Amino acid sequence: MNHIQEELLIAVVLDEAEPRTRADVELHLAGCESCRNEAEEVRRVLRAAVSDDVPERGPDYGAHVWARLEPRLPPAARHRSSWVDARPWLAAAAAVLLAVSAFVIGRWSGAPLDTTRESAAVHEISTDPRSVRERVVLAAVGDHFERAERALVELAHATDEGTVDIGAEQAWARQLLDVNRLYRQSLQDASSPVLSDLLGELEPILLELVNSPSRLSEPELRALQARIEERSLVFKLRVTGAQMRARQRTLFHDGEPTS
Amino acid sequence: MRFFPGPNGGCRLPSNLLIVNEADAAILTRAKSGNREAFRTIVERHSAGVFRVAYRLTRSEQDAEDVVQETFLKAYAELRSFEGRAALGTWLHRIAANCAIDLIRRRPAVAGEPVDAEPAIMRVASASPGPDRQAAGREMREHVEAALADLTPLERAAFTLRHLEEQSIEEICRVLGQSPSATRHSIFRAVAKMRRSLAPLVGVQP
Repeated sequence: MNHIQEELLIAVVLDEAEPRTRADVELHLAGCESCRNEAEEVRRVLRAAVSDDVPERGPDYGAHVWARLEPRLPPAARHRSSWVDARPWLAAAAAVLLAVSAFVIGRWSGAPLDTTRESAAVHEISTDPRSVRERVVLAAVGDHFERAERALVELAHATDEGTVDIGAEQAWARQLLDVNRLYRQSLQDASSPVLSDLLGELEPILLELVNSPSRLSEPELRALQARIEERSLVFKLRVTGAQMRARQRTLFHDGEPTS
Repeated sequence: MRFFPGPNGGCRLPSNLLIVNEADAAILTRAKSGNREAFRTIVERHSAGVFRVAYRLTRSEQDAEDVVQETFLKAYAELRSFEGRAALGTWLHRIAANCAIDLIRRRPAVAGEPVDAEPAIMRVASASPGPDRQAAGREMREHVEAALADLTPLERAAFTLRHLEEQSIEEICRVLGQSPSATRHSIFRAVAKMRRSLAPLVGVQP
């Protein structure tokens, strides 16, 4: 009687054999004690191997790993996907903004932020529909500015030899541009020069990016980067975004007691 | 054959993959946008699993800890290219496996300890209670450790990922950069070697 070769036996035990082969082997095993013992031995070896002893790690192991890891991480990772991650909800946010901004924007007409309002006024403000609407505007436009800033930062740091593929950036610039136009229009109508001016400065850069070839030569990329730089757009987006976040926090914390 | 080391000498990252479970999805999105706290959550959530894979491949706590660090550094650098077609944990385990295999190949070979041929399994199966059984269990684990240490890095990786980590052949292929056929042969060779080492302990009476 021919016995089953070891490799085939292992394949069957590991469930890696073709169904037909497996059926043939099982038929043989039914009538061959020697091969049955061989198969059982393989199974026992495999069971024994599972008994390996991985040292225990405590519940705070992840925190220890992070403590060692964190100082080794690059200080400011720029992830393409961070801004290449625009989502359809931006358009929805724009629609919401359009609906509410006309009531709101007087607060963003260029006056310095008032982050020290007396808490006595807070309840009144937090329940005031204008306050709620302002939060919506701050969240929507603030998020738009943050995405735009990340996009421009990434573009400003893009380096490559020869030509640079900006196809992904263009796709996202197109989305940012659509939303940018919506926001600018609604904020213009509501007389909000600070935000609408910044949106107005951002728009030509996004437009240029959208209309550029998908591959830029190194000089073309440098020229685009220089135009972003000379308008201090990244700086303006960062500062305005920070102001908006501060304002959001004020509104949020002020609103907490009533929520 | 394209095998473990990456183009820059570091561990090669697996190609990007399949599904993300819902618990990881939201945090992953934030981490990909550069949010460190989100990445911290990922690290804290997956460290133990990454350590387990690393330890099973390196058989050394210190090496496994190094692999854990290397894995998350690589993951952080490559997070944006992770397309979410694999579970995040699976992706991290693949990175860990590659890092571990690189480390194994870099470190000098260490002569294995001689294996006691006395059939420990018989003692495990004996009627002796308590300490004897525990000692036999420890001894069996030592034999298993020795048997695993006798495998080549490729065999150990293939065997560990398939049998202990229960990864599919396709997943292991991606980690090892091998064809399915070559991966299966690595696993079969590993099992055959393990069998030769452990058969005296698990022997089946005819």
